[in-house]
Amino acid sequence: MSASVPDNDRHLVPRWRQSNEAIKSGELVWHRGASTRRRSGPEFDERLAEWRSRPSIEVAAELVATSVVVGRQSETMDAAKFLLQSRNGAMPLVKEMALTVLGQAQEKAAPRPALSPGRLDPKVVYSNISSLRSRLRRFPRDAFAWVDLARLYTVLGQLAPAERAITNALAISPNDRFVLRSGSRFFLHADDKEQALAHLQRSSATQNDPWLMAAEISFAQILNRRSRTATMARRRVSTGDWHPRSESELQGALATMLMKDGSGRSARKMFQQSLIDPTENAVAQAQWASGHTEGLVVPSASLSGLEASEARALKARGAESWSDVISECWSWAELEPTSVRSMIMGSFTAGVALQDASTVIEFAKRGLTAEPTNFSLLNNLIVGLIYQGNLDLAYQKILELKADTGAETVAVFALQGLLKFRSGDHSAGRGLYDKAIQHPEALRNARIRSLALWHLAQEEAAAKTEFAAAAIISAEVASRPVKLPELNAIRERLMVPSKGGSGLSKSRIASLANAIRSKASRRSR
Amino acid sequence: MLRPRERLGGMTLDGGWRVVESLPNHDDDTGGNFSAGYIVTAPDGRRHFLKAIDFSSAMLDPDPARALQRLTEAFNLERDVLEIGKRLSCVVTAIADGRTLVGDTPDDVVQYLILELAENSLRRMAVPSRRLPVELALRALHRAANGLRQLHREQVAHQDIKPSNVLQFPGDEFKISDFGRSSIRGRLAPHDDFSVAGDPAYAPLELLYGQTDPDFGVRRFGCDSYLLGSLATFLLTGVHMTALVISELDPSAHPGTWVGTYGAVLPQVRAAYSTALAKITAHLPREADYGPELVLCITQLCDPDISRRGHPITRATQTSRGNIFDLERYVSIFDRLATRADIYARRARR
Repeated sequence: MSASVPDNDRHLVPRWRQSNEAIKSGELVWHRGASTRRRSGPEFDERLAEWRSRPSIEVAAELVATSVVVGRQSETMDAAKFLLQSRNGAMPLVKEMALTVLGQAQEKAAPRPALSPGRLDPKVVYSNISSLRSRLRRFPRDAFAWVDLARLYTVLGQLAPAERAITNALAISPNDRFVLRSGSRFFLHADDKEQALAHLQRSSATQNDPWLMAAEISFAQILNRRSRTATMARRRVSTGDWHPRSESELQGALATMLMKDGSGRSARKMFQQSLIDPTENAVAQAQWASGHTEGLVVPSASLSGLEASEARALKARGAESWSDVISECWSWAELEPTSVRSMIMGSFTAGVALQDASTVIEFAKRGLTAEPTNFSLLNNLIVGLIYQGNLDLAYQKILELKADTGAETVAVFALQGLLKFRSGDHSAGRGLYDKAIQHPEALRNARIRSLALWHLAQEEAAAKTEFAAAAIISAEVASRPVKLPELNAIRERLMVPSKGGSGLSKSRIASLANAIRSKASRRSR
Repeated sequence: MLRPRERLGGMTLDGGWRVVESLPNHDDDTGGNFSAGYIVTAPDGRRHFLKAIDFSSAMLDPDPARALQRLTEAFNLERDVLEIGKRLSCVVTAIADGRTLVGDTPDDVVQYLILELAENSLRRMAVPSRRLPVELALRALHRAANGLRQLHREQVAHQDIKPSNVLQFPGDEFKISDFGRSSIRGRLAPHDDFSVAGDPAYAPLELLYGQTDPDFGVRRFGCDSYLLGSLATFLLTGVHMTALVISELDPSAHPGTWVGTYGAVLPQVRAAYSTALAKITAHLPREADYGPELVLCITQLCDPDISRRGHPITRATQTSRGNIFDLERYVSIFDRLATRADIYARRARR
C-alpha cells in the first residue's frame, strides 16, 4: 500500500488532559444546583468598613485576602489597587493576591509540550517533568501532579515511569474523577484495558458519578464485557438528576452501546441528548457516529468550540476537505498528545489523499514518540520515506517491521510492492501487491483490499505501464461498497489526464467498471 | 445613639477601676461580636484592657430569649476560658470581671472583663510592607503554639487564632487572646452549630467546605493546628494560608460554589495547596536558614486532609485517648528556631 487506515471504531474513552486544563474545561465540576454554604460572615463587612474609615496597608491586605476567601473580590478592587500602588511596597504574595482580585494574576498553566502545531519539543517536556518531580519530592500527596507527571512520560513513550506515577496517583486518590479517568486512559495506552476497567469498577465513586460511568461503559464495550453501570446509568439519565453537561459523555457512551447493539433509533435519540451541553469528546463521538447512524446530524454550533478539533477533523474527512483534516489533526494532537489517533489520521490523510511526504513523516514521527512500536505509524512513516525517495532507509524500516496480524502482513506486502515500484522494478512490485491483494485477510476485508488495489493502480499509472487502466478498473470495482473518503482522492488523481494520471476519463472508467460488474453478477446468477 | 457598652468612658467601676480611654478600633473587634474596648487604670495606677459586653442587641433579634441565651452563654464561656487561662503562661490573663449600669433600664447593664494590657498585636506589627524581624516572628509563633498547647491540655480549643489575637506584651512576650469562639470539651457553646466557629476568612479549608468531624479533638484541635500553620504563613508572606490556597483554586472549586463533597474536591485543594507552598518557599528570604524547616511545619500543620494533619510522629504515637494534634513538637521546633534567630540577630547587632 499504502498508509494504514485510521481506526474505523471509536469509543467514548475519557480525554487525558493536563490537570489545570481539565479543571478549566469544567470536567471536575459537580453540577447539582447552587452551594448552600455560607459565603461570608460579618467579618468581611467589618473589614470593609474599617478600610473605608481607616485605609492602611495592613487593613487593605486583610480585606483583600478575606474577599478572596468569601468570594467578594469585586468589592475590594480599590484596596487591591492601593496595595499595588503603595509607596512602601507590599510583600510579593500580598501583591499577587491583589493581582488575583484585579483579575490580573498570571496564567498558572505549565508550558505545553507542543511548541507549534503538533510539533513536540522534548526539551519542554523534560523541563516540565523535572519541575513536577521536584514538586512531588516536597509534596508527594498531590495526586494531580502525579497524573500530570504520568501524562508527560506517556507523551514521551516512557511507559514504566508513567505507570509508577499513575499508580501513585490512584493510591492517593482512588475515587477521584480526574485521577480515575486519567488512570483508565493510561492503561488503555499501555494496552492493559483490563486494568483500566478494573480501576473504574473497583471505585465506589463510579456508582454515582456520570463521568466515571461513561468511562466504565466505554471500557466494558472495548473489552466486550457487560458493563456494571449501564443499566443504572440508563435509569438515572432519564430522571434528569444530572446537569446535561455532566451526563453528555454518559449519554454518548450509552448511545454508542445502543448503536452497536443495533438499536439505531434509540441511539440517535441518545446521541442528540448528549449534544444538549456537550463536551468536545461527546461531540467527536456523535460526529463519528453520524457516519454510522441514519439521521444523526451534529449541529455546527457544537463543532465551533476551540477544543472540538477531533470532531472537526472527522467532519472535514467526510467532506474530503483534506487541508482542514491536516490542520485539525495538529490541533487534536496538541489537545491529546498521549493519543496517537490524531497522528494516524493525519499521516494517513497526508499520505493517501495528498501524497505529502513531509507531512506524513512529521505526523508519524510525532506519534512514534508516544508509541514507538505502533504499526500503523511505522507503516505510514515508511510510506512517507518512500514518497520522499529515501528508499534505503525505507528498506531498513521494512525489515524491522513486525507483522502480528493478517492485516499487518497485507500492509508489509504492499509496502514492499511500493518500494519495488519506486525502485523501478515494476514486475516485482506488481507481484508483491498481488500477494497483498490475494492474502486471505484482504479477501475478507474490502477496505484493505481496495486500498491495496488503488495503491497498485496509482503506481502502475505513475510508471505508465500497460496495466494501469486495468488496475484502475479493478480498484474501482472492488471499492464500490467501501466507505473510505481518501480513496476518492486517489480516484480523482488517476482519472484526470495529468502527470501520473491514467489518461482515462471518469466516464470511461465508470462504464468499464459497470460492464465488469454486470458480467460478474450474470456469472454468479 | 451609643449602645450601652459604648458608654463606659470616664466611669469608675467596682474595685476602683477607672475607664480612661475608649478604643474604637481595638483588635477584638475583628472577631468578637458585641464588644467594646477601653483602657482602665487600677487603683495602683497600672493600665489594663477592659472588654465590655452588653446584651441590648438581643432585644432586636426575632427571638430575643434565644439571642439573650446565646450572648450570655458566649460571655460565660469566654470568662470560664479566661479563668482556666490564669494558670497558663502563654494565654492572656484575666484580672477581674464584673457588671455595671450605664442607664436606668435593664438594657443598660454592661458586663465586662478586665485583662492585662498588650502593647501591640501581630496584626499591627506584621505590616505587609515589611517582614517582621525573624527572631520576633518566630518567638511570636513559639508563644502562640505554646498557648494553644496549654489550652489543649485543659481541653480547650481556641478556634480563632489569627494575627489580631496574638498580642505582644512588654519584654517581647506574646500571648494568645480572644476566647469568644473557643470550645471546652464536654460543654456546649453557642457557636457549636456553625461549621466555622471562628473567622471564616482564616478558617481551615475542610470547615469552609462544610466537613465537620463529630470528634471534638479532630474538629477543634485540628482547626487550631491549621490556624497555627496559617499564622506562620502570614508571618512569612503577609497572607494567610486559606486565602493563598483559595486564590490558587479554579472558581468552580471555591467553597462558595462547589456543591460536591469535600472528599471530591480534596485532590484539587491539595494541588492548590502544593502550589501555595511552592510559592511560600519561592518567596523565602535568601538568608532564611529557618525557612525549609518552617515550611515543613506549615505543610504538616495546614494539611488540607485532616487525617494527615499535624506532626507525623505525634500522629503515629498518640493513643486513641491522646491528642493527635498535640503541638508539643512544634513548640520545641519554634523555640529552637527562635532562639537561633535571636542569637544571629544579637551577633549582627554587635
